[in-house]
Amino acid sequence: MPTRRNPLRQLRELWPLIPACILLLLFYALPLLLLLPNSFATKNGWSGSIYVSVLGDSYYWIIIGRSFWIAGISTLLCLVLGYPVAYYLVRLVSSRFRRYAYMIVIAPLFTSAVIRAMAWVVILGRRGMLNEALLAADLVDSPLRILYSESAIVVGLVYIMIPFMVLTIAAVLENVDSTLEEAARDLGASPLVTFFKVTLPLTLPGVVAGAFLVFALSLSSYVTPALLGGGRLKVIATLIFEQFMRVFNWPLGTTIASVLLIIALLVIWAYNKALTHRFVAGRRGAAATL
Amino acid sequence: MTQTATAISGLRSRPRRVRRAGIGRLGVWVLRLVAWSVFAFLLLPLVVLIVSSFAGQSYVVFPPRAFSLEGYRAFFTDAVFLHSLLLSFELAASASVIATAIGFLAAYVLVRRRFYGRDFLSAFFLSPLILPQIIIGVALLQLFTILGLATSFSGLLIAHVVAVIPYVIRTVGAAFQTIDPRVEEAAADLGAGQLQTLALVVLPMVRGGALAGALFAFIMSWINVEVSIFISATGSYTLPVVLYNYMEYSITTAVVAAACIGIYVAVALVLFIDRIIGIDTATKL
Amino acid sequence: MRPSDFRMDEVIVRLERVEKRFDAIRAVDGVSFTVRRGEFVTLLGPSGCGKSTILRMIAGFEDPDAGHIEIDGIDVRDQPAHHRPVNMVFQSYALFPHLNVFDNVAFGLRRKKIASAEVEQRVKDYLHLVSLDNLDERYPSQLSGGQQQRVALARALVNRPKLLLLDEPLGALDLKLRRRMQVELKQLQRELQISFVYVTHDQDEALTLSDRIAVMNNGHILQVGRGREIYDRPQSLFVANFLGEANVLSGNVVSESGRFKAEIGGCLMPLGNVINPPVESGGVLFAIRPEHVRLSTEADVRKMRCLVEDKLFLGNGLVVYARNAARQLITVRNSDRALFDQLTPGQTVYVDWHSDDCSVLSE
Repeated sequence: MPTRRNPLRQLRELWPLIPACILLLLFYALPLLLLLPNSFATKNGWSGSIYVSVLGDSYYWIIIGRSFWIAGISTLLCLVLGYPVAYYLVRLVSSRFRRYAYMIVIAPLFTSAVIRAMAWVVILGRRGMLNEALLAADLVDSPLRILYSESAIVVGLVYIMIPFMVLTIAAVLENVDSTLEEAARDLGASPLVTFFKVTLPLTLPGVVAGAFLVFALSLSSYVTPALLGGGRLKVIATLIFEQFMRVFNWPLGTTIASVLLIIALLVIWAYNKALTHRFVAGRRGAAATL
Repeated sequence: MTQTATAISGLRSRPRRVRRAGIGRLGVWVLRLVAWSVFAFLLLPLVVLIVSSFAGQSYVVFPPRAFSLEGYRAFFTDAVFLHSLLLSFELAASASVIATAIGFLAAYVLVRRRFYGRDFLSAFFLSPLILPQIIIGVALLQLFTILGLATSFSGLLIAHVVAVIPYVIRTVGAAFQTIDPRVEEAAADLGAGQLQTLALVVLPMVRGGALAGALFAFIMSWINVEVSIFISATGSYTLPVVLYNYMEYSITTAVVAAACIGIYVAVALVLFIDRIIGIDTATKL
Repeated sequence: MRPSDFRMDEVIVRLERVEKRFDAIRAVDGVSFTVRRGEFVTLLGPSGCGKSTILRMIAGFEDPDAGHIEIDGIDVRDQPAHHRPVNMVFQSYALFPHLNVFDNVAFGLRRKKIASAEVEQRVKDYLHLVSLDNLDERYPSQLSGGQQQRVALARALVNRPKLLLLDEPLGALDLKLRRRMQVELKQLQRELQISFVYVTHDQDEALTLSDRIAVMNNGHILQVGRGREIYDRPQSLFVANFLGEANVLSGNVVSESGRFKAEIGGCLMPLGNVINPPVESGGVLFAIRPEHVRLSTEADVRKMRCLVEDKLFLGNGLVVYARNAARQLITVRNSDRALFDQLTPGQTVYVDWHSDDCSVLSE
C-alpha cells in the first residue's frame, strides 16, 4: 500500500509561511486586485467610460508618449554605461578594490529618491554647480536652463537606475566562464570579435532582463520626474499622483494606475522570462537585484 | 562568531585573478575608464550635497563660499524636522522588526521545504521589489480609505512592512542557504521539533544574516517616499516626505542638512551590513 | 542492562518493499530488510545507489513513496524525525557550530527534559566513552576531524537510541585514522549492544565492521549476508566486481553424472552446490577470486590449460595473468615465490580451483 504524505504533517512544516501570506494577501494582493474594478466604477454604475475618455484624449497620449520616451532613453543610457561597469566589477577589478566598487554602485540605492533628486537640483539648478562652472569659464553669458527639462529627468533616472542594470548584468556575467573568452582569443578572435561573438551573446539574458527592469522602474518612478521635471513636464506617474492627491479624481487616477500596472506587469513578465533563459545558470528571476 | 563568519571572511579574502585575456589590453583600459567615470557620476551628487550642507547661506550655492554648521543647527532647532526625524525612526524601527519576524519565518520555509507552489510563492513574496511603488501606494491608499486607516500610523506601518519584507526574505534566505541542512536534520534527529530547531539551532547560526536583513528593511523604510507620500497624515510626515514638500518650494541649507543626515544614516548602515555579511552577498541571492 | 535482557533475534528495524523516487529517478526501488537487536548491518554500494536515502527514510528526513518502515515493531509513517527512537551520525558530522562540545552532546537529552544533573553525568560518561574528556568547552571549529567525529558519535549515542544510523561517518578522515576509528566503532557497538546501520562505499570498511552486509546498486539490494558469504559466493556480476577482484568467465553449466560442472573455454571444471541451476543451453558467468585460483606447471587433464601472458610483482603479492584456450584472461594471486620466479610469458600452466570457490552469477 503506498504511503501518502500526511497533510497534517505538511501543515506542521509550512506554518511559518502563514503570517507572511496573510500580510501580503490582505495588504498587497487584495488592494492591487481592487484597483481594476475601481477603475470601472463610475457614477452611473460599471462602465469602461473612463478608459474610453483617457485613451481617446491626445492629452494623455502625449504624457504616455513622453513617459515611454524618457524611460526608453534612460534605459539605453543605463545599458551603455552599465555594461562596462558590470564587466569591470566581475572581471577586472582587483580583489582589494572590489568591495569598495560594489559599495559605490550600491550606495545610491540606500539614499532616498528625494535626496538624490535634491543633489541634481543643486548641480543643475540656475545657480547650481554646473552653471557656476560654465559662467566662471566664460563658456556662457547667462545661466543655462537645464533643470526642469526632459534631460534633467533623464540624468536623474539614469543616476538612480544604473545600479539595477549593473547588478543584473553582473549576476549573469558571473556565471559565464571567463575561459570561454580566453578560448575565443586562443582560436584567433580579436577582442571585439570575442566580445560580440562570445561575451555579449552569453550575457544577453542579463542585458535584456536589466533593460526590462530599468524600463519598468523608470516608467513608473514618480519622485524624480516630479522634482527634476517641474510641474510642467508630466509623466504617467506624476499624473496618477496629481489625480489622487491634488485633483482628487480617484476614478481617473485608478484608471491611469491600472494602465501603468498592466504595462509594468508585462515588462516584469518579460524580465523574468529573460532571466530564466537557458544560458542563465540557476534560478533567479525577481531575486537577482535590489 | 562561528562557521558562518569564517565562510564569509573566506569569501571576502578569496583571491581573484584579473582576467584580461578576453578583451585585450586596450579593451581593459576603455572599460576601466568608463567604469571609473560611472563611479564618479554615482558619487558626485552625494559629495556635492554633503559639501553644500556646510555652506552658510540660506540659499544653497555650490561651491560654498564659507564653512558653517548653520544648516545643521537650523535643522535641529526646527520642530517640524525633528518630529519627522522621530517619526521616520519609529516607523523604520517598527517596520523592520515586524518584517524581520515575519520574513524570517517565511524565508526559512521557502529555502528549506519543498512543496507545491513554492516558486510561485517565492516570486509573489519578492514581487514588491519590482512592482511600481506608486501603484502599491495608490492601491493601499484606496484600501486604507475603505478600512479607515488612510492617515493613521498603523496604515503607514503596514504599508512599510509590505514594501520592505522582500529585502528581509532575500537577505535571510541567502543566509539560510549558507548553512548545512544536515545540521537542522541533526537537531530533528536529536528530538528537536521545528520551532525548537529554529530557535536553538537555525537562529543562532544565521543571526548575522537576520541582523543584515533587519537593517536592510530599516534603510528601505527610512528612505521610502513613494509609498509614504500617499498614506501620511497631514502634519505628520516622515523625513523624506517633509524634504519632498520643501523641495517643491525652495532648498535651504537646513533642508540639505536634513538630506545629508539621511545619507549619513544610510552610509553607516551600509558599512555595518558589509561588516556582517559582505555587501556583495547582500545584494544578490 | 544485563546482557541477558537482550533478545538477539528481536527485530529492531523492518523495511518492507520501500520505494523512493526523486522526480523520475527511482532512488530506492522496492527494498526490504531487517536489522536485529545488537546487529551491525552495513549498506554497501557506489554513490547514488540509494543507501543514504534508506538511512534518511529510517531517520525520518524523507518519506517513502511506498512500503513500510517499522522501528521496534511500530510503523513510523506518521512519526516525524524528532519523535523517532533512532539517532544518526552524519557524514559531515553536522555539529552545531554555535554550541560547544558539551552543549552539542547534551542537545538531545535536553530536548527530552532530562534533569540537568543527569544530563551532566551522562554527557561526561559518553564523552569519556569516546575518549574526549576535558574538551567540553571547545567549539567544533577548534577540534580536529577525528575529534569532531567522536563528538558526533557521542552526541548520538548519549540518547541511547534503539538504532544508530551512520552515514559514511569515517569518509572525511585520513586512512590511518579511519582504520583506528573502525576498530573503536566496532568495540563500542559490541559494548553498548546497540544496532547499527552503517552506510559506506568502502568494501574493506564493510567487511571489517559488519555482522551482515547488504550490497546495493541502482536502488536495489542485490545480496545480503555475512561478509564472508558475500565475498566468497557473489550471486551477481555487480557484487563480484564491487567487492574485491574477480575473474568473471563466461561458460555453461553442464550436468555430468548427476553433478553440475562448469564448462569454461572447453574445460570442465568442478562446481559446488548450484542452488538454481540455469538452463543448460544458456551461457552463464562464473566468478572466481584471483587468490582462489591454484596454479601449477605440471600437466593435468582435470585442470585448465593456459598460457602465461604476464606477471607482476606487487610487494605483498604476486600476480600472474594467463589466458585459456578460449582467450579468456585469468588473474591469479599467489604467494609462491619459487613458482612465480620460474614463470615466463608464453609458458604453459595449469589452473584450477576448489569447487566451492566458483560461483555462478545471475544476469
